[in-house]
Amino acid sequence: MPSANFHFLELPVELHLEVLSELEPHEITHLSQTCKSLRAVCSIRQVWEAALKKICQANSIFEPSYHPMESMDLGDLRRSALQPWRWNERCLGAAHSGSATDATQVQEANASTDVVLHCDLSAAIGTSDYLFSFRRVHLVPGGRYVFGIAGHSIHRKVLCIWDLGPARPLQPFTTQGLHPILVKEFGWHIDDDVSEPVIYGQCLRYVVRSTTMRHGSRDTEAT
Amino acid sequence: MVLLLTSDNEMFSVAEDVIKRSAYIKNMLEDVGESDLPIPLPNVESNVLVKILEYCEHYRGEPLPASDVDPAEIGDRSLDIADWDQKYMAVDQEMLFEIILAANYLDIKSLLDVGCKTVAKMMKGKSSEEIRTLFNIANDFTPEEEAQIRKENAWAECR
Repeated sequence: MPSANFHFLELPVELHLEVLSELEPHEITHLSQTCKSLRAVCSIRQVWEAALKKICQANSIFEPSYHPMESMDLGDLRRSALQPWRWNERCLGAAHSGSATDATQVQEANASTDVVLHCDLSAAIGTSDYLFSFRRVHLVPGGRYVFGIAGHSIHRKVLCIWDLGPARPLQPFTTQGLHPILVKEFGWHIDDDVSEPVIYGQCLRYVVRSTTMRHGSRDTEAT
Repeated sequence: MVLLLTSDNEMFSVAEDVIKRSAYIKNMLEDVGESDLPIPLPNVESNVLVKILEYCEHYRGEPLPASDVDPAEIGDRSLDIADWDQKYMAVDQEMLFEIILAANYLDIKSLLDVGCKTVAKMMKGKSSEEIRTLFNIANDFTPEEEAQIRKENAWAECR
């Protein structure tokens, strides 16, 4: 056993894996960029499968959204495991950049559930005067799509789904940053206190209660 | 008492209930039974064994963790480290890695966990360059590999 200047690199692979199991996905990425031997360790498939499972737990993402995990290649595993972090960084980046844009802007961002999205949907809806504030946005199981409901008057609500993209460079929200891929208007009033997203099967079920005592629900397919 | 012989030929006499925290020794004692012969530990030096015994002494009397339990199921996935463990782990890197190696060899799961968490904590929030400095790692990537890495990670980089 080497004793003089015993070095992190000299630990056996099994112990590197133990240490990696304690790291967040983006930290594994940083470690993989230090040198060849650690890059090799960080490219072991089980590292990213474990990281993705951990991410699912931490973010309440329904694990079978990725099923079968065995069929995902290393790149897919890495991207999926990094997605929630990337989403968070993106929000923080936008919040710190202070770059007010007329299209999409994040004003507060601490966690993915705490993001206020301001989004000009005039292009999507075809009228001006459609600046919506998405007070709560949610990462859909699978980690690629973001879902939110907003409205600026009691009778005008809009449901939006954004695509974070499979492999787009991370940027703060800008006009080019995020475009909703689905915009749906509806006229119920939503009681925010009882509207909570629930991971349900492979769907994110968002049950809303309208004050006119009509009940509605929206299921967003996980991809 | 159990006799342990380290790689640098030092003999340690240790109470059985202290050293049984090591699953390796515990199993060996159960397999071999009472014996006056020392157990050789060719992978552990005396200065490291002293440190390992300090840990085992501290947790003497606490129940041994059940084997065959997946730590993921216990739900302790955070990097929280008990105060005493943190002070215990406040050693230089060389000793830290020696402790991890010895904990692995002696099969002391809780100590291995604390060691790995300590190393993970050192890396928290650090860039690749900072990690290189931390662990004194030489960047041995060729310019081509560097370009490849940048390309692979372009989508994940931020700010």
